[in-house]
Amino acid sequence: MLLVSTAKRETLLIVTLEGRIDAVSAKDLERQGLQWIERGEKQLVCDFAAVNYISSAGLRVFLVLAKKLRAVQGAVRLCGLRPEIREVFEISGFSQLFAIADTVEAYF
Amino acid sequence: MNAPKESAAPRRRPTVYRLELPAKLEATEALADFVDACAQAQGWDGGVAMKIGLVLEELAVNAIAYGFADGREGHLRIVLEAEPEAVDIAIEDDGDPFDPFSIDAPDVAEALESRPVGGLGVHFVRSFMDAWSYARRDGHNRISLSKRLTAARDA
Repeated sequence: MLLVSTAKRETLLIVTLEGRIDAVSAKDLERQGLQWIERGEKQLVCDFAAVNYISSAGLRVFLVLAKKLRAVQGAVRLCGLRPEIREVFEISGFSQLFAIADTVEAYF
Repeated sequence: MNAPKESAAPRRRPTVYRLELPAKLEATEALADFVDACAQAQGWDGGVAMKIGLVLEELAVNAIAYGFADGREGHLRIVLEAEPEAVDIAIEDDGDPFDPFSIDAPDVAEALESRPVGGLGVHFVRSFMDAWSYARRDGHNRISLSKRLTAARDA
């Protein structure tokens, strides 16, 4: 179960994620992400503070969105990763691919 | 007297948890509740539960994608044997032969542009488990995993 909410602040789209990013919920998240990019969002900040699980299917979504945004000089940035989520990013090498901060405020 | 005393406590029998899933991607959502129930009963910390849940999801998703690529009906059976110091897991399915450990390990240092998305699931298995094996027998794939639970490793 994954809850996704978005809010625009200045040029950033703040994406607040809550719950599990697994093989099933990742599909829906990818669809939403592609819609944000389609409507012109270029700077995504994904707040992971309430995410307690992510699998490779979830990681893949962020890779897909980052590649799309890279092509238009945009970016996906992350914040609020819990230690066990951070470990998944480290082991997969994904922590090298994204800016990761403690809180959303770090990006303002 | 040389007979061994009771210093070697009788080995406790593991608690066994079972789950059967249809071989459909949507069905993998049931893994979360299964692992939560095991974690609560066994008192695993959140990190251990997440790692076991992650490994189960990755292997189940692979088994469904490769073993049942034609979309036919099938089943996955998971048997988890929990002891205070270790967890042994068997995942069995009646899909086409597929050995997930034959997949090459990904280069986790690769740049964004060239980064492929495959192979990560098995990389997590190798990172989070202490032993893993694959066997094909009587038309079934069987993956065996074990994870030690020690304060030093999982604190």
